[in-house]
Amino acid sequence: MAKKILCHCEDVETEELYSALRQGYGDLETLKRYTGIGTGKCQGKCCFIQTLRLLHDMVTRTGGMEREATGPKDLMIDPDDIRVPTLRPPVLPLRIKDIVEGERGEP
Amino acid sequence: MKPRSVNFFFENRRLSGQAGDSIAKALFDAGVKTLSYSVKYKRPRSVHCARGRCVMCHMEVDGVPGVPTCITPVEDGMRVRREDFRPFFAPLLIFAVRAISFPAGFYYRMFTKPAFLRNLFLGSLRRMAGVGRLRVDRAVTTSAADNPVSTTTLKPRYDMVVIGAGLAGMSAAYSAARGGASVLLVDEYHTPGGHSIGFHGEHEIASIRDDLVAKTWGHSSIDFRTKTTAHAFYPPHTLLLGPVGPNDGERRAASQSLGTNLPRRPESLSAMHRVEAANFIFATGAYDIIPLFDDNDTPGILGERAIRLLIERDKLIPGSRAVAYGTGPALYDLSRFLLHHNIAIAAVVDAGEPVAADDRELPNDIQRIYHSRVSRAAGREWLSSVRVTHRDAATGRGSRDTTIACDLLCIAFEGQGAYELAYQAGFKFEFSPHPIQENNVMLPSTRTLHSENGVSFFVVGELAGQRSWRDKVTAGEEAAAKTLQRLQASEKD
Ligand code: FES
Repeated sequence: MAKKILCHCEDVETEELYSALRQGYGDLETLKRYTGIGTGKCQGKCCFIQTLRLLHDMVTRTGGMEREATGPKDLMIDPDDIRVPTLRPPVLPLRIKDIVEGERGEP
Repeated sequence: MKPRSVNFFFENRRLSGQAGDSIAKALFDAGVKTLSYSVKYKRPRSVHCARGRCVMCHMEVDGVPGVPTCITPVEDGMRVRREDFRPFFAPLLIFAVRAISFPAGFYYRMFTKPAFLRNLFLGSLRRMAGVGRLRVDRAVTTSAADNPVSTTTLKPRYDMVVIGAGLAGMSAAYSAARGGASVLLVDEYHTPGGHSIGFHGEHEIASIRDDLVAKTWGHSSIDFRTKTTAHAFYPPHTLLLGPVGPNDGERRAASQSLGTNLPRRPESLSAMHRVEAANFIFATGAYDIIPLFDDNDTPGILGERAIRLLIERDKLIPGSRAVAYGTGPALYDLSRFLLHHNIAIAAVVDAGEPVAADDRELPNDIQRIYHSRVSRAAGREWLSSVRVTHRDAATGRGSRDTTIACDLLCIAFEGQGAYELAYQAGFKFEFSPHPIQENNVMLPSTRTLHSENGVSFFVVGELAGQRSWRDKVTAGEEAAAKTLQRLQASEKD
């Protein structure tokens, strides 16, 4: 069975995003929580843009060529809501040891 | 000098590799290409980003899970294992998971009651996902004493902090330092250069890079730290720097860097540090984005940056017959790069129009397919072919399919800027609609930001959507010039 993988860390398929949209999960943060997109170890570095791009395409009806026939037609997302999700530190995983030891050397 | 050979263990096999190679390269040389299996469907995964950002190459090394094998050098006696949980009934399990095709969010709905069943269910899900188990005795006993990395402290304050030592970052740092500013330049990688590390000797980018490295490395007013990650930006003006990664890899890497011919001076930080500055330049570069098509996660599909790093930095040639896919000058540049490294090109698939200027230097006998998209990848453990769908330029509909046998699919679309830090500093990102959908990436809505606390931020390089080396270098210089003006103005006050 062919899969279009949207998020490689969490194995989320494009179809899963569509099904969540059809179920009415209509904003970025809930989509993220519900499908798990961008919640894997890379924290969306390699994939989140794809999700945003699909939504952007569906909402603005631009981009043209690759709009999926399976995607929901009427989306309640405001184009302005399609933005980078909240990004919290740290950018890369950090050892707890390093945080515990804190700053070494001069303050 | 002939490299020393090392023996290491992969699961129960004894393999040999060369000192200085990455673990991934040593495994590839021994014919092991599948480095992990995906969380849910247990699909094979192999190197993907080649720079320690994704999870595809993470393995358990000497009992420590989550080690990015693409950037960790192999050592004598190392024990390397795949992380995931694969019991003898794994094939059955995978079949079941695939057949049921668990819907999104299934774990929120299944076995929600009673509590003990829920815990059992979630527990076994986590175990099946196989993200490795941490052996506490290994993980916490490393102490500062056995960390040979120099702990030279940073100054608490600099005139300017540049994050990312690519072309844009280095040029900004150099121009500012020449104007008398004290500069901190950090890069998370061992060797400076960013994206430009992946350009070979004859390429003009390589000489620009070497020139900038020579100027910035060892400059008296530039504190140059490689292998140092900027982990967070806290407004108004604090940057948190620290050691890289959740593993012992950096300790090894510092004493034994991976091969490139750039000068090396591992000046990484071994503890967390906080620095303040009134001027920040974000030059954090960009990530490869793999477009959406069927089975787009098949190993053997690599972005432009990754493939350049693998070949130039690690001397890891991941395949012998490639399809290059993308659009614009970068696609043809990548094709030439592949040919230069004796990788045959089965076809160049261009999502856009033929542009004469782009493919001038490519041999004529190479098949070019325009207005086309890769619509499917095939292959079990590694890529074996791709299907290319030719779209009618007028209607935009799919019309013709061709299947091309290949063992590499190299993707050269626009990368998405690494926006994390710039976002934390307050930049807004929005789409820059592009006629080719795959090139539609998020760019900062402004290049400069001045906070009310008198701190200035600049985004330069690929993060700001600059693709040519000239633009990157100029952007760096301009940001530095503005910084110097500000510094002079504040001195007068
Ligand atoms: S982390 Fe090694 S390939 Fe991405």
